Amino acid sequence: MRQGCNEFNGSVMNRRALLSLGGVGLGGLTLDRVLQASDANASSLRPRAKNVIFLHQYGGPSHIDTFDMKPHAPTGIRGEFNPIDSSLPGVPVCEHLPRWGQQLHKWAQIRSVHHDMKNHNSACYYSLTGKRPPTDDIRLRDTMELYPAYGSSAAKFLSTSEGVPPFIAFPHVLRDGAISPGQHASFLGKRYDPFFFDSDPNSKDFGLPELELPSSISLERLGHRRELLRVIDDQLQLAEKSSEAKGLDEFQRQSLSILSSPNLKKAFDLGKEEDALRDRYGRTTYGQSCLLARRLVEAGARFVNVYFSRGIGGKGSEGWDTHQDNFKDLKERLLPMTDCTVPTLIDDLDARGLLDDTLVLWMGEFGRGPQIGDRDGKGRGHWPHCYTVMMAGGGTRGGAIFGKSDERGAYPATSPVGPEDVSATLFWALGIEPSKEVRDTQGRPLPISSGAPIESIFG
Amino acid sequence: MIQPNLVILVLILALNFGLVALGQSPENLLVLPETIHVSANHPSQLLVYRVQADGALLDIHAQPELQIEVADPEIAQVTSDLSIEFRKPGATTVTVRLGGQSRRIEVTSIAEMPVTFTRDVSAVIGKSGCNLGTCHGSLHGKAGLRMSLRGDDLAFDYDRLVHEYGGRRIDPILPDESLLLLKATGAISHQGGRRFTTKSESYRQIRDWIEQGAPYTESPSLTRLQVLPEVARFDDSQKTAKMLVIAHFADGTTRDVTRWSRLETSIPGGATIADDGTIQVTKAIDLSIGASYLSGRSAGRFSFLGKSVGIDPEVQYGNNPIDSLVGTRLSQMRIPAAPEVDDATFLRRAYLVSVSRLPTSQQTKDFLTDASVDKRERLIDSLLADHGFNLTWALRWSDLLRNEDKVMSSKGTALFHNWLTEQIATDRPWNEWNAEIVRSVGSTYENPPASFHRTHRDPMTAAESIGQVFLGVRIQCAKCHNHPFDSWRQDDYYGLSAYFSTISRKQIDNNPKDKLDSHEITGDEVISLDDRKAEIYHPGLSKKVTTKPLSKTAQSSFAETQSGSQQSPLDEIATWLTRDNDMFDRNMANRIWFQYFGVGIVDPPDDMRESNPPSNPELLDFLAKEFRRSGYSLRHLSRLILTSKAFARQGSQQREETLDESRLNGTPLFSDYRIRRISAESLIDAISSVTDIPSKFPSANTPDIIANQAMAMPGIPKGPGFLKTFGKPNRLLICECERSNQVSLVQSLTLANGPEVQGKITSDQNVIAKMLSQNVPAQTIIEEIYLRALSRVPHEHECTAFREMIAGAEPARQVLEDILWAVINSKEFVMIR
Repeated sequence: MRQGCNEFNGSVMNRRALLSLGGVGLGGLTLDRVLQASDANASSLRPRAKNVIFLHQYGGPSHIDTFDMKPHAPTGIRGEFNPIDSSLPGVPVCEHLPRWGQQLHKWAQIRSVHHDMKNHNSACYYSLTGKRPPTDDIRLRDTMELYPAYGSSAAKFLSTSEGVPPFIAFPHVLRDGAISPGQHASFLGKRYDPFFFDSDPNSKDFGLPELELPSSISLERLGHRRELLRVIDDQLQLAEKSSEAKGLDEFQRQSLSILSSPNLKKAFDLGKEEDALRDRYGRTTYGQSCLLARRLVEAGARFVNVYFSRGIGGKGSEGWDTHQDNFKDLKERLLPMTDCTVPTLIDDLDARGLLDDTLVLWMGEFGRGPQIGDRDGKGRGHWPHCYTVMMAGGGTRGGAIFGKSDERGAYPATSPVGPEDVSATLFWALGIEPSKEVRDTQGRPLPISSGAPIESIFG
Repeated sequence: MIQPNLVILVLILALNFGLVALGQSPENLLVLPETIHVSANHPSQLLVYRVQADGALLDIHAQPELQIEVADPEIAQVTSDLSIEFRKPGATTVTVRLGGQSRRIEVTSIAEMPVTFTRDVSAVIGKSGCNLGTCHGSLHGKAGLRMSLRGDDLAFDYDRLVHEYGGRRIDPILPDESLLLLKATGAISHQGGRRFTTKSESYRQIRDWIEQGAPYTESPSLTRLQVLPEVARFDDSQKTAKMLVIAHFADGTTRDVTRWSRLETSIPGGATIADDGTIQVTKAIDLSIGASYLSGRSAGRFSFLGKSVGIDPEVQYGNNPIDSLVGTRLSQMRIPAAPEVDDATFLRRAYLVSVSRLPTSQQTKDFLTDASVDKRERLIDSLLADHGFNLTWALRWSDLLRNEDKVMSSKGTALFHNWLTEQIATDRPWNEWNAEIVRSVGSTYENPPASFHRTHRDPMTAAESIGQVFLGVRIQCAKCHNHPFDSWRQDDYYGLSAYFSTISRKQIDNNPKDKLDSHEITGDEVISLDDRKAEIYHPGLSKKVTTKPLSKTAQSSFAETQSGSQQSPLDEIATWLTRDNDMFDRNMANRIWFQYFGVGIVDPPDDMRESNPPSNPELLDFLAKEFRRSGYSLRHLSRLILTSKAFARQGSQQREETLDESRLNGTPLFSDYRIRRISAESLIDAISSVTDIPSKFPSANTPDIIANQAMAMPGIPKGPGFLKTFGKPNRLLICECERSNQVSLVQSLTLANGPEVQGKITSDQNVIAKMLSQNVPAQTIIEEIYLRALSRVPHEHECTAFREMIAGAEPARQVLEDILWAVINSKEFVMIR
């Protein structure tokens, strides 16, 4: 017996409802958001993404210095960078993203994402799961009570391919002091954990030892072992008696098929790619990781998380936490690397006919503050109150721009949405009903997303 | 030793259970309820059953021979579907006759009472789901309207519905135009959709109330909610059955509120329940149905049985009182018990669950060749005396009490682990050392049981752990609102938290890597109690409250002042927890059972609540009483369990035609033994012992010294690796669920091709290398591997297959490695079965 509020999902709002809603001032749902939402409902949109490549930039990329520039704002806000024309008429982009600018018509932008988590670990968890953390504390601990990674939910609800794990994440474990939550299956159970590795795809001898049979084990010998194993397993036929043994049987079959089939291993063999293409992706951990992501999707993975950096970094080190010398760090390190890699990934997916099936997300855990002057006077601070999320492929409408920030890029001016809505959009795009219920460790029924999909960027 | 007369008593009680639980005489006509109140708008349903010989019920309300007679038809009447309806106020009786039997029911017809806010309007709101957590009952409400979760605070709800926003939600002049009704009927757009129609009784009641001016009117309060029948087993011919929800009010009246209750099944998808209480199933199933009405919660247990099956009493029952109880319950549910396992499987199972390691090949050979009849009992006795038994339980408790290195420091982890090991080794009364954990203060290095207050660093975390670890109840929900599925109230949550509100902590030589992280403590910590009143802020009451133990009844109150005695708040709560506390006894008995069966009688083992009842209540009660009677001896209860037939049954089997316990409700009745994966620590230790190549882990005595056994490791591994992959918990939770015995792809890859396992298989120091160097024939080496890993010798079929391979041209060493690999990767090896 189910009497929740879910039956609302199909209903369309009328004017009177809008007016009465307007009176009560509801968070997140403003007039034009509702109008856009109902417009989208009116069409016959169908989700069509099969895979997701989720590019996560830990530390918090500045929205004002990339896609949501404010050239008319005062100096202390607009910053050092100039906007240049992009392939989208009237939509400029930062001068340090010229290649990305030339393919901006392939991207949908959500410029009014906001939340209230100012610490990396809590905001990171929010961005990886779409679930608001219980506390905004740097020490938010990774527990089995917190929400699963997107890819774990996707692995649970999507059909998967033989010999390739559905959810793969690499090449870093995100941490800011402690391990940031949101990187595993949590209460969904270990079988939905990502297939994770932290070796560097840009290193010369990149490979996974577990996937690589030792030289003493030929495929023939593995086959031989498999035969022996069958002889023993046939004795008791435990798999027919216990669901756990059956699960083990299934994973054993998968792991042996991974070991003996060339698919996954081949995907890991980046040497098979032409040097020129590898160069275009960029000879960086991030560049080669994105290339690997494409190869894994080709091989049959459904959800691939690529983490830009292991930590928040900033100041010439790893991530996007540009408290100090924001502009130098962006100009010399972060933007060139990004402008080299991300557009190449999109072009490559497009050229192979994979872009329509594959939703690519580019985002961080928050944006950066409009007011320049953090720390050394040249940095920007954490800013969850408004930032931009980029999506391409997977059925999104290239050139779509959803929402608007105010004149300083400080708060959403229209259509505020939260990470919940980003998560709902992502699940919706994959054809997974966002209100689908899962059970946490307390047995409480929870929806995989509590947001509303932004359908208007699709089509 | 078990008293023979106790066995008989238990047996008699158990055999009568089905009827005793129904509160009826053991004749075969059953009519419910026994007394009835009806009024004009509130008729009451009658349930009529025949009780079959085995206690199963057969619904006979439609049977033509059934005669029903109202003594005074002026007062009440009976409809054809057995609903008793009001005629005029007065008292009468209804007599139900079938064959030679009759039952008389007292009926009181009462004048209709006016519709009130606290009873009728609130019931409609609750029934319609308006105040659920997913709708207006959420912390922030929905679309501008917030109500208390599941009608917890009716005055609050009244204010919101009637006064908020200038009273825009109701219109006493034109009641039908009230926003409340327009929304609920979907006349104007409502996110929650249409909750009822304008023609419904729900509509009429709310409308009448609004027409009266929407007053805050009160009815006599609800004193008790009752589900009828409370426990019932239905014959396999029956796929539908009716349940009733009866509300008892403070004025002594009752009301059939079935259609005003929210009914929820414990097995979604397993059954459908109609508004009138009709349960419909498609196959044999055992379920609990929770009913909520106003603030009342109750649950009924309904088993739809499979066909009667032939039962062999020799297999079904036994001399151990556990077996009488398990067997009786199985017979009630028409499930035949599985036969006993062979000696080899029993040996391996007993070792893994009690000492967490495999028997050696010699121990296996000795046991298998021992011809004495009491060899299994003697085996259990020897295992209970083994140090592995102490390590097994120290590990369980280190998991539960969050004994992890970051907050405890490596030295503290080891000291606490050693202290736990010591308590088990001496079989100190379980409740005593449990109390010591709760009560202890001082240096955690000098007095390790004080570590509980080092790992639980604020009063609320401590209270939640006390509830879940020691009582098996989860009170977390009651932090923000009264528990929606259980009887815990916010008062319980903050009352329990208050006991821990005077704790102070002082770090000695603390040098954390992250200065801001109060959860990293590298040195000793001294726990002390401040000399002030134990109290804590209760957000629901907006004031500080003092201590109060958990109480199932809402009447209990907070302590007036600190008691005059010398007892500290910690002493008080420790004593309350562990002395004469049935919740404690049942929880611990269940956890001990869980260790040996991999599943609790209540499961999950730390989620005890009315809507998650024990699969065999008599068994749990017996174990709890036996535990207390034995002076809380873990070894006594373990011996009783491990020498029962229930423990010695064959592994899970699929059966047709009977109630399929394993798939349907997850709380098995122990007709067979649940097959499951070996835990992380036991598995790596097992691989080490089979191959003769140990892995290295920090040991308990000094963290720097490396031990060979994962089971003896006091803390948790720092990085990823075999143990983490196989589900060793990080000890950040107090939940049994943190330890995962699930299987995963990475685990399979780790066993099939991981460097740690590969290293052991190929090492030139391993069992194969050693035996080959002594010129032991391949056949004997294979036999040794089998004995070590699977506690058996190879079957003929396996020998034939291997002989063919060994005879081939390949080097013997390589074939033996392949066989070792196959054995380690076999399901037979990685499962407890």
